[in-house]
Amino acid sequence: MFDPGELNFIGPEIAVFVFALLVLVHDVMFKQRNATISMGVSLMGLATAAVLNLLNMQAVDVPREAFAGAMAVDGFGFFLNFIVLLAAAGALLISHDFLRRIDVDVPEFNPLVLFVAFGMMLMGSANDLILLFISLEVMSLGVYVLCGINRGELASAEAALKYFVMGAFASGFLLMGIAFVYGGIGSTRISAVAQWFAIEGNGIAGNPLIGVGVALLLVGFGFKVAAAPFHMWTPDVYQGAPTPVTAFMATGVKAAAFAALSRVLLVALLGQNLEFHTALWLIAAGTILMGNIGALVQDDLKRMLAYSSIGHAGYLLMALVGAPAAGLADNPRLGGILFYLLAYTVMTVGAFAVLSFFTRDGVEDTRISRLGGLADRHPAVALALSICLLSLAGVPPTMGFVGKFYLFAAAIEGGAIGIAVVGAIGGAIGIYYYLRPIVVMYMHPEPADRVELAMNPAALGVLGVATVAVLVFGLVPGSLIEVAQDSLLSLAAWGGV
Amino acid sequence: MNPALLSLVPGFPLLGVIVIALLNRKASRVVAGSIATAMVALSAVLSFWTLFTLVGAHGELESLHTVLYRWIDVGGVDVNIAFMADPLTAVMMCVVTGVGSLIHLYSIGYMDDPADANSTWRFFTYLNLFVFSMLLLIMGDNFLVMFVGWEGVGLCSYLLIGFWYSNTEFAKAGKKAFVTNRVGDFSFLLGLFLLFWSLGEHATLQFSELKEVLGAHPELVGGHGGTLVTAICLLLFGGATGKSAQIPLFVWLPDAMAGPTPVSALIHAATMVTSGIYMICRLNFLFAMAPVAMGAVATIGALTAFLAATIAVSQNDIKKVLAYSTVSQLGYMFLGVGVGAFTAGFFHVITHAFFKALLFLGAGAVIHAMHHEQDMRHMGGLLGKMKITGWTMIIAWLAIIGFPGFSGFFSKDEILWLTFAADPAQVALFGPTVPLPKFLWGIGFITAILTAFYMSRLVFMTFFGEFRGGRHGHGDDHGDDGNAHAHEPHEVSPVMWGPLVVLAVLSVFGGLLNLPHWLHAGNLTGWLHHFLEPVFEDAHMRFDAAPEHLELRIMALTIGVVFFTIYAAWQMLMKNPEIKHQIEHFIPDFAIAGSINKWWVDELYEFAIIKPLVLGSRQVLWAIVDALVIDGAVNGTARLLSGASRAYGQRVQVGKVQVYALALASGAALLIFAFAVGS
Amino acid sequence: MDPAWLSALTFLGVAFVVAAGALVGARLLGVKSRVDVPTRRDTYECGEEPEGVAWVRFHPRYYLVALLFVLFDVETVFILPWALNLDDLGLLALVEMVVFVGILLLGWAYAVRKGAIEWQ
Repeated sequence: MFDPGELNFIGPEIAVFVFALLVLVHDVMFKQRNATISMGVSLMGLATAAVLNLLNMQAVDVPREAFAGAMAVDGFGFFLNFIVLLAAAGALLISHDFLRRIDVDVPEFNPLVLFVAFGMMLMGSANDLILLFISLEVMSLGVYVLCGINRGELASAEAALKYFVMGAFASGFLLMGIAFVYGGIGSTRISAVAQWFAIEGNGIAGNPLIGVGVALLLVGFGFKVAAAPFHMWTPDVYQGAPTPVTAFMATGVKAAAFAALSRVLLVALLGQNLEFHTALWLIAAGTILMGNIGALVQDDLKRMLAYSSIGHAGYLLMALVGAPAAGLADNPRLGGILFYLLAYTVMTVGAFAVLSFFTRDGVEDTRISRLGGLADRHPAVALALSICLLSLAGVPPTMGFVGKFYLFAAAIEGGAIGIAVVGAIGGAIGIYYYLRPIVVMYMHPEPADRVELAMNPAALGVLGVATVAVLVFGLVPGSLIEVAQDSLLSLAAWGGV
Repeated sequence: MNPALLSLVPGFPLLGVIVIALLNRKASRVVAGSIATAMVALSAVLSFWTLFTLVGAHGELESLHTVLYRWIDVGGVDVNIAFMADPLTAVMMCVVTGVGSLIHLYSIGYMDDPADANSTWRFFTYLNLFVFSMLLLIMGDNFLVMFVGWEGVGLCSYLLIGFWYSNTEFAKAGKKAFVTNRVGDFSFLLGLFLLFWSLGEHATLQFSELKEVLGAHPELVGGHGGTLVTAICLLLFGGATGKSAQIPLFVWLPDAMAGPTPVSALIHAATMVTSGIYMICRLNFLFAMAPVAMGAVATIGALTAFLAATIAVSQNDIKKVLAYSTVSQLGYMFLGVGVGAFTAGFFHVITHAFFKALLFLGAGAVIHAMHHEQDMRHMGGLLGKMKITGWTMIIAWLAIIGFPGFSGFFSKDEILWLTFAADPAQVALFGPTVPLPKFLWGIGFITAILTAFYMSRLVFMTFFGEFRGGRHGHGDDHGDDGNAHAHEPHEVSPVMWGPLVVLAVLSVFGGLLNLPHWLHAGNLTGWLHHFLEPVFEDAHMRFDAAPEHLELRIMALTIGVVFFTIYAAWQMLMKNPEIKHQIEHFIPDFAIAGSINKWWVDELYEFAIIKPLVLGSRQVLWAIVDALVIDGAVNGTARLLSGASRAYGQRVQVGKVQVYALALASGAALLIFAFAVGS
Repeated sequence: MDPAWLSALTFLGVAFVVAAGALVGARLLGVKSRVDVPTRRDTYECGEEPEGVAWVRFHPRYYLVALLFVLFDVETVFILPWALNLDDLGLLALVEMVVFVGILLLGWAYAVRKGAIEWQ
């Protein structure tokens, strides 16, 4: 029977949702819309959710189920909630001035971001494939609209349409996969799938229904996290979408989708099933190479970051390949996954905050050559962007370095040496294209038709906080790493791996 | 005292660095200098508090310890940013911050050249950064923090030697110091790695844990006298020869005098150059296991002391004399720790910090008053013009030559006494039966005579006789103060002579820390020995265990020759120059030429190491290995990859949704197929 | 290979062959004309003449109305079973339904405010 007390566990989600409605009422219902109030209320919603999440985190020591097992209440979900809230806050703050500049006055923007965040948060805690699918769609539908929010811009419309068509296609795969797995096992509970696989002799051998189901699940998730060969939409969509939306997609969507994938893989699928390890190995290797090689010759910073985000998905998958057969506690370094998702969110939001400055007459211009002479004109911005890029490249002493270090450690400790070598090659290639913008900023002259940077306090604040965080947690990662590891280990409560 | 306060000791100078660097040009000399001085003074207050806490605990408190944060946890080894203060650290902290704050104060007066007005903030930033790094070096509770400090002080030394970087010679001197130190650091690192590797599963970077591990499992490093521990200690000592300017890496220190004189006083005399000795003291339990390495330390120390002293007797640049004197005194300290008399060596670190800082600051005051004139041949008779500087310098002179009652007398003669009495089995460079200690004592004794001679020469030439100045200073490279030359040298401002007076008092009474037995001074007898006892429990040459009857005799012998030398120097240099010429006839020509030309060590290095290295790098490594092989491989790979990238972008990623969908569907088919084949 | 998987793969293969076969068969059997006569480009080569272009755009208001219809249609789907079982479900279910309808009403108000039901 339903226990109203369990509503506490979705307190953060409820907060975000209610505030989204409030903002919607304010933005749409009143004739005179006040952008600042709208932004303020939205951020308040995120802050409230963060506080509630923190309270939950402290109240729940032992992972437990809620809502008749549809939802898992554990540290993993709490940690993801923080990442999502950070990403949403970053995107909102960057968008504040940006939307005005590109002349998009759509009152639905802020509520949409909140609704999307709501979906993302549920995704991280879904213990049931159906809930997982619904929350994924709540997220995706909102993101489709956000991509095309700049209706006047062809690239934006193209991005939205491509993402929608491909997304619908991939959702079909995911849903079909869920159906197949349900058909084979008789339950959509992730923990039930785990229990089924844990029984001696159970596996995809002799159970093509389940095997195909898992394959289709991987396709659906692979699309959302932009893993090869399901990644091809990423560059077009990331480049076409307005910069704050791209920032949100690269961070929030990626984190939420990756969290859901990790939960399914770590709880139910990896472990004894060597086929899954092999499949994951191939996907990870392809993703790392595709992302990093594709990024090499890009002249547009946004497109380059899109490819780089593919590469980063590859590193995360690489760590998952190192999931141990004997139980999560065997490889606590896997906590690096959560740490890296957070680190990636922080440094990417920082980089996109700078990109959002590059508009001219309402049109974005993010070609790398535009960065020329930035170090002379705005040394602080150039330095901050350099730090974020170096962190993405994994250069110490940054958060990106620590995160990457743990990902590689997780893979190697799990015995996945081969994929770690592929990852190292990808990382080496990565250094090149991350350094290129820095070289342009510091050594190239200003282009003749330079873009006046449209700096604004909100985005600068985001940039500042991100840069400081990247450095501080790069130097003092200890306690954060511990929280990430504990959070990931909470998954062990659900059996499976 | 709350151990957490320890973090503040390096914290204050770091705060100073940040504040002054942020203010940069907005901070004038006085503002920047005052901030810097205040920060170091605050550290000094905390340092003395630490020291008194430990003294007041009467041995019941071994050390204070605080963990600032856990840095990273790799391969079973926890690395903390943590500080500790045991008696050894506490004394060193007080020396560094105490002498440091005096020198900071002095610098406010010294750096008043208008040409430097825009860069004094840089000077004080570096100076504070140096104190910060030095405190990391001495307070770190593990090798990592120590190494960060170790490299940090090297960096600051480089930055400050080349402070007037527009002068190419000065910039080169900075580079020379840095490169020479890197050679030593490399050896130090190798030693560390070897130590770490040998410990295996007991690996630790923390000093106290290391001591426990070695106590419980000496076999890990090959046991007492083992080859492994000897190699480790020799490599670590190699690092010390770089930082503390010993043979063969001492060549950078005399050139380092290119920096502003307060820098020479603080970094290249009182503190940084003693960090090699400090490191050996910190690791005394390790070195005590390797008698051969100890013999090497003592021998190198004694030889360096002698070699540097022979060079110092013929130099005419006042700072060069002091630089070689520093090298020589550092040799004494190594001699002390090398024979196992860690406390005696460390005692000399302290007293030397007092009188050598005083000598440099006094020399700085003279140079300042003489408008950047450093050649002693153009000085003379300055005692009348600069009373305070002159008399404090005379005190420092008496301290360094070991005049009875002054601080240097107690520390140097203790080293000589304990060297004479040392057990040859523990200083076994050439085997346990060779009476190496007696021989080393002989070298140290002769060096003491040379020291008395060249220091007397310095003081006589500078402060006594007739004033021989009046020409334009050759060292005057920045700022045109042509008018100033018209003025006679006069006493410097109080902000400069104040620190001189304080240091003079310390130079006189510093010996009270550790009085010899024959004075029967109660608690003060061997006080430092007893205070440091817990740290040096493995030392061979215990103060109380050493033969007391030798103590007074050896000291008396030294006193005798010192008195004679001063008298002889006075006769030679001031009264009868003919005697000098007559004596010079007795000395072989090559010895005189060798002394003046610093025994051609620089030329030898240039010829034997630097030239071949540069040539090999340019002709072989650069032209063939780098340009052809490496560049070829790198460029080839880059071309291949970017070609692949471009091809992918143009052929596959064409922007058509159909292609994307096809890729997705194919991927799905592949996965299913893979599962089918795999099962 | 596992026999169960073999049948699954066979199924996949048949599906592929049928789909590809239709395309390939049409290509093989179809008559290829090298001449480009205007009638070949017609929508139908026989029968009615097409009127106007085939890419007619429907007015988006149709979609809006359809969406609004779905909104309230789905509401009914939930409310009917709820109403039938209200006695068993108790007060809590009532509260839940009020929240649900409230949210839907908000959506309706939003649609009204945006002018979704004004036919201009």
